[in-house]
Amino acid sequence: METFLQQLINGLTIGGFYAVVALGYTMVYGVLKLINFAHGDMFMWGTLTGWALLTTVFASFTDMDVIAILAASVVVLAFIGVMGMTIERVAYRPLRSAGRLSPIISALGAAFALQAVARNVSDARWRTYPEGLLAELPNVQLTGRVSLSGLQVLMLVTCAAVMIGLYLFVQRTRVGTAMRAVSLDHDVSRLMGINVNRIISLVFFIGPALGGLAGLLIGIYYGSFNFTLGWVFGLKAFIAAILGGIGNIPGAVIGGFILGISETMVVAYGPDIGLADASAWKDAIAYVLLITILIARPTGILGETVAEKV
Amino acid sequence: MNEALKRLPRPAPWMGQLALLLFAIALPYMGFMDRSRTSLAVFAGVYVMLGLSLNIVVGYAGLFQLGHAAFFGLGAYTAAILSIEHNITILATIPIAALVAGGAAMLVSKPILHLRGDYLCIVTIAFGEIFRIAVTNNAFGITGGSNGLFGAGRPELPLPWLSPVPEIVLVLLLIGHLLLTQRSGPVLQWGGAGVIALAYFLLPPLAGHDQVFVISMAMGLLAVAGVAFLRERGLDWRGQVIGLLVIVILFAAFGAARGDQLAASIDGNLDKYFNVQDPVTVLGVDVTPVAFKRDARPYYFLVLGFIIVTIVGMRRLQNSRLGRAWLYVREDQLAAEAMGIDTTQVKLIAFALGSAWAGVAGVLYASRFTVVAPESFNFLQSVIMFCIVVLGGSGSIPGVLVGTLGMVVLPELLRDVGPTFLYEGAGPFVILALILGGHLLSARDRGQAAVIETGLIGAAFFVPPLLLGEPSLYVIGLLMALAMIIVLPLLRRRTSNALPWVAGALAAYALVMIVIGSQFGQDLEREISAFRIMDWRDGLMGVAMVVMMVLRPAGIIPERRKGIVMSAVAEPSGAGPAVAVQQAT
Amino acid sequence: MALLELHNINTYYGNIRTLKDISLKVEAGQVVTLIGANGAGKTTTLRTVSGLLRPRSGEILFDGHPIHRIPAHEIVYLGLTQAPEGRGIFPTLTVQENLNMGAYSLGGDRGAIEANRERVYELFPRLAERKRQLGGTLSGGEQQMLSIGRALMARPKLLMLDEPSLGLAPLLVRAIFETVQAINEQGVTVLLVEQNARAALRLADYGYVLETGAISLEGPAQELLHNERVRHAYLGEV
Repeated sequence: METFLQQLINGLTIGGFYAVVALGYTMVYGVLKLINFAHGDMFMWGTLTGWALLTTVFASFTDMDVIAILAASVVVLAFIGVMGMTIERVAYRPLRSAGRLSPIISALGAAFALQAVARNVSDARWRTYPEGLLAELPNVQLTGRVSLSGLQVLMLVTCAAVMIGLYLFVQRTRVGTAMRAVSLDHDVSRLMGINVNRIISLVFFIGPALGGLAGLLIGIYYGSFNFTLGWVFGLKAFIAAILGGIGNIPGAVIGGFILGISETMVVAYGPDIGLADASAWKDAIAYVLLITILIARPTGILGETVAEKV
Repeated sequence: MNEALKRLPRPAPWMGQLALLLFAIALPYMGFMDRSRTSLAVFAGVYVMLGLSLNIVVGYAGLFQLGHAAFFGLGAYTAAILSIEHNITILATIPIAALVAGGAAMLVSKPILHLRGDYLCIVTIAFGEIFRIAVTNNAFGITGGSNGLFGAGRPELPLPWLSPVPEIVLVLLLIGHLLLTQRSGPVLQWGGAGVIALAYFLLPPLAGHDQVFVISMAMGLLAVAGVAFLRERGLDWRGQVIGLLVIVILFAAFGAARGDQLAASIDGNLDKYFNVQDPVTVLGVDVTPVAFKRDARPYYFLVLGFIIVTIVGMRRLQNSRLGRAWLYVREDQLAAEAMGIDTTQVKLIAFALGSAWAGVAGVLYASRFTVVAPESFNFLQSVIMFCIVVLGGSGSIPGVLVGTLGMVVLPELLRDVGPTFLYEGAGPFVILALILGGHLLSARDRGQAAVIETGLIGAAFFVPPLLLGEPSLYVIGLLMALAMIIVLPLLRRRTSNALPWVAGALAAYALVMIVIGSQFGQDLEREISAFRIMDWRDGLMGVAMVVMMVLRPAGIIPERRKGIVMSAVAEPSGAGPAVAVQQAT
Repeated sequence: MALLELHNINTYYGNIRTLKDISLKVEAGQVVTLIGANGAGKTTTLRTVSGLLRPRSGEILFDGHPIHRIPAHEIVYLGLTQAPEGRGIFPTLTVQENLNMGAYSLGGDRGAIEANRERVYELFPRLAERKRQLGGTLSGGEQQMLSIGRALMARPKLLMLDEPSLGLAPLLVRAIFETVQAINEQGVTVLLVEQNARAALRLADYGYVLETGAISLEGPAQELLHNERVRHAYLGEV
């Protein structure tokens, strides 16, 4: 029971990251009906930028690592957000009326380009974050042997704050409502006086910025990364978004947690149920989960049936 | 001038195709085709087959498939396992591999085909990734884990002039001839068959060598195809008979005159490219096999043969009942359903057929490269196949060829190119000429001003490197020229006379370059020579993908078949299908 | 000067010319109707005016400003709104949110939005009852009310309605047309596109008849009502 609880906490933490990255996918899909394959790589760029900042510019702050991390977060948010807007402007906007195949290729192309630059910036090596970041955060002891590290608490709190904040923004504010309107109908939104391009740019700022923040946090959490991080993690986050029902913010959150928890649980309990090398198959869990859920519910857990736009 | 061009007789499409075919046959004998390039050609050929097979799924039926590499891999693994574990001649595994790949596709796609486009896309990615993870983890203990399988067999063929091969080939040829000439009268049908059979068997003894049966076979094939071609061009049976006789007589004369040389060269090639194995008899018949050697040329022709068969098959498929059904499903699934097309069934066939053919390509791949490892079938490969189809022009067969050139051949050729070409020799001048030529062409309606601008850019390009003797500055010059022609149209929108601005900017550029150029040029040269283009290959590919799509969203050679009538009728009425629905109510 | 003027507008879908030299005027304070059969180009005309489509040639003046090069969302700020064809309700937004989107061009001016909403609720009390309901769950008539109400939220000078009677029961149609009249009496100019020619002409001051993309007939609505051709082709009288 106690190991179960411990695994649940680990799963929740990873799931939180999946959820935050999934939000970016789901928002973009909402307004453009486009799988933004470059999103995973922008997430990785968040990790990379964070690493670059914390090992150079902010390296002298390491005894005040909270400040260094806060400063790095701000830079990462801005930088990755602008990166997202630029990619939308260059690679997606010219293709908005070009059918459904071309934007997929363009998105994949953008992903390749981002990955190649990251590969050369990081010399294609594994890079490590400074050691002992936030080590002084106190652990939280739940029961005898179950505990959350301070880092985990921070990650969970940040992810939760991001998700709740975004939800409130989209549900309660004028611009958030406009986002939902744009995701329903571009033309009618324009008739309301909504600048659709600006809303889409905003979505392409917020989504990648949050993804980049998640990237920075995951860099701190895991300590090391390389340039391929974005692809696998991004794909899984996208799967999380689909599991929950794409275009749906609570859905992305649910999907993220389901995926994070299932992965952790299968790896932890796989050997007990006859899967000896469960960890080697860990990456397949997301895909199997995706296929099973989509066969049962073709539009995801919270998704509604929408007629396909041709 | 354009009018005059239009009046020139345009070559018929078959002439272009024939030229392409002849080029493909001549390609491996060309001077620049060394061993590694021939090998690249074989590799590209496999990808052409993959592109053509994926074209069924994506181009014809309009389904998203980003996991095609899995079915390619299934074919390759099937061939490798059968050939290594069970000693089956690798080409004989083709039907099994096709069945395995096609069957697997049918099995997995059945429950997911009803999914909407993007969901289907992600599910196919999932299948591809599951396949990769499974073979990497040595599923069922037969895939060799992450190292893959080594030593898949090389293709074996029976020696073509040992009985019973010539007889079997002749029977096939005659059947083809008799079927094709059914409506051409008995003279051509039976007389032609007799002539072909006679010449077929007389040629080798006439020339004095059994090897000449190879020529007989070529003659037979050409005769059957030639007659069919003449008929298609509208000649009556007399013309066709004459055509047939011409072909036969030409070959007979050629075989008689050059028999010894032919036999010698066939033997020579046999030694060079094939490994003649010990005599084998099956039921008392000698079927001595020859196995391919490492040299890529025979593989090239093997793959070329498969590609030709595939293209012919694809064309027939496109225009078949099934092909039209795919078109309807792709353009408007609801309408297709309303017309009584079983859309699920039709999509399933597309998936199965495309995947089976990818399995065949997998066998060819395994037989050539003999190593079958997971990384050859990962997501990147699926993306490359997808790009081959979409970049070339979804649904278009020439598009697949162009797409393969861009996605497979070009990146490999980049390997040999050092970036120093940017400032050495004629490189910079060619690029500059292209940039400025493009600018002149796009600004030709502004006459003199455009010429002056071009001249100024050219001057600014040449002055600093020539003055300082630093050729590497040409690289900066190229960037400058590129920037100028992008900025110029924007500038022109703001001011009526852009020339002073252009001249000022260029003068400033030249001045700055002359001042800082000598030190900067040396640094730049060091940087450029240290630049390894392979590090950036994927990135360049990615940028090229974005640029290509933005410039030509429908692909380089878009498919010409247009989707039925719907778009032409529904659009003008205002808001597409909604109107039609309202009209009905 | 008229509130809205179209001069020789030509609009294309691809290479197909759907509007052929359309010229029309809407005087301030009037109700002007555009009638015609299905596919005659009525909706295309409205989409061209509101900026969703670009004319290939010609000029559109609204309140004296040329608007044919202005993006659709900016035209709204000039005081021209539209209840689009098929109502264009945002199905997963609540009634109130739909209305708020109509007032998007007012920015964050909560007071004005609140006041406009009250006016719309006064005009359509049914919407007030259902303000927390999702737009997609409303009945057809309620959706039409919402669509018109939403277009009024920006306090337009000119309101364009695209077939407000479409798919509604006769009783509801009458109610909708009465409301349109009430709106007009409050000082809003209305450009009404309709297939229901009789009702539209009874309400309107001036009318245009659109046939295969060109204006074939125009005149004061009363005259059109008694015009032989109109009666024959659009009013179903022999």
